[in-house]
Amino acid sequence: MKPDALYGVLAEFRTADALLEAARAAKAAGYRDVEAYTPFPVEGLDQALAIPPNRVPLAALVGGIAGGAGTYFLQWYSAVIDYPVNIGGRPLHSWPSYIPATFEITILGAALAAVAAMLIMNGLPRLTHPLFAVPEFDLATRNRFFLCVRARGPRFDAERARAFIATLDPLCLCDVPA
Amino acid sequence: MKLLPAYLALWWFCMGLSLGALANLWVHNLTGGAWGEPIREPLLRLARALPWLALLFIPVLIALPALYPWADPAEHARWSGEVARPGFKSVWLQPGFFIARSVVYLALWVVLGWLTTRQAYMRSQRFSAAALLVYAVTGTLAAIDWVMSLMPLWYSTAFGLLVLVGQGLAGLSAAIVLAAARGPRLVFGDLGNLVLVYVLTWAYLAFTQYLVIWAGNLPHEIAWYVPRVQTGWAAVAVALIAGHFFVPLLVLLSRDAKEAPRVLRGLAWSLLALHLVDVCWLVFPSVAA
Repeated sequence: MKPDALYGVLAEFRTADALLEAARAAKAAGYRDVEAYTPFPVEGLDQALAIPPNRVPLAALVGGIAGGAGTYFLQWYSAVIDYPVNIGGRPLHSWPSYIPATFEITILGAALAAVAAMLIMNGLPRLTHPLFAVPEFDLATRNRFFLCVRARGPRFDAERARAFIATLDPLCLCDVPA
Repeated sequence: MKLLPAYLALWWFCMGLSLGALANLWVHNLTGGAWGEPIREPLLRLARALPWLALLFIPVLIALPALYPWADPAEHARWSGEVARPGFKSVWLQPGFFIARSVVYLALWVVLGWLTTRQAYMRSQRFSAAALLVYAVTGTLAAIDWVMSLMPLWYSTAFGLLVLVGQGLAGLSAAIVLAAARGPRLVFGDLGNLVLVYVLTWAYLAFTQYLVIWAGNLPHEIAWYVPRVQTGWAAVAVALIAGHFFVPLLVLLSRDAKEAPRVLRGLAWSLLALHLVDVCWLVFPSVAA
């Protein structure tokens, strides 16, 4: 770790629209590794940042199918194979009554799998983050919008990144030490 | 007399497109967002048909006894027998009262539709909230009066909401078909999500209604489902479960499919066709029974 190692270059904006514009400009200028921090979800930001697809939806799908299929099997096995009981003359395999529990555990399985996959893939929870070293960054949870160009990859040049961000007219522009 | 039920079903389908389009407009006025902009014009176009559709209900009102068993005094004993409150039903289903109510629903909808096309109310949040409330109440009552009372013995408390959700889905699908040529990719992803919400809500309500009646297994409650799931109509029921729930669900789980206008447009066409099947499935077996 070099003493002057950079996490990235951070820019602060007053409005969501300014941030969206900056994100689009960064994408157009060829910056691929850009992050944004906002106090609330901003419509269209994920498209503007061109965030690459990840596997969280797939994990949710697999978790949901596993939960649903497992629950249906559990009900079928207990009602038909393990402990058949005549209830009101209904067939042992009464599928309508299996649907509610199957549905609920499908949701539960999908939600748990999605949360687990999200935590595994983004490395949370962690105790600290380089961005917390920037005093202004507290405002990201209140009324300011931040764009961070990450200092990663062999082609990153801090001077050029700072010069580019300066053209976006940010409220402030600062280095984030790694 | 097979023509009248077909007329009623087709009219109810068209009315549902118009009302569902209005409901989506009001929801967009309340929530805002880019998703609604490209479909606003088609939704308004669908809503403008309301006055003509309202006039087209007159033949049904003239031919009441041919459609509704309760409008025929000789049939009274057959349908007032084993219901919880025959007194209330006998009063509620008087032809005069029924016609007066129908005219009130239609007049309210025409007025709401007309106000929605006016500049002053086109984007008004307050008006949209009030209009949605009026639509929820009158739409529920209209579904009960015009469709559910085809089989007066039967009632379901979920029926009105189920019909409203189907109308919302149909109105949105029609607007997507009309607007498919316009709009950025981003918007189609959102519209796809909205279609998915409608499909899931419709399936949830439809299944809940079936499950409660299936579990209770009471003669006058299952009377509505027996012709629908134990005759040739069962094939239609399976087609509805597949095409109105499973296929849209599986297609819309994929983000790529949602954001491809061509895929979403194809899905919207198929949902429109299946909504028509759904309306027929709600109307025809009741008339034959």
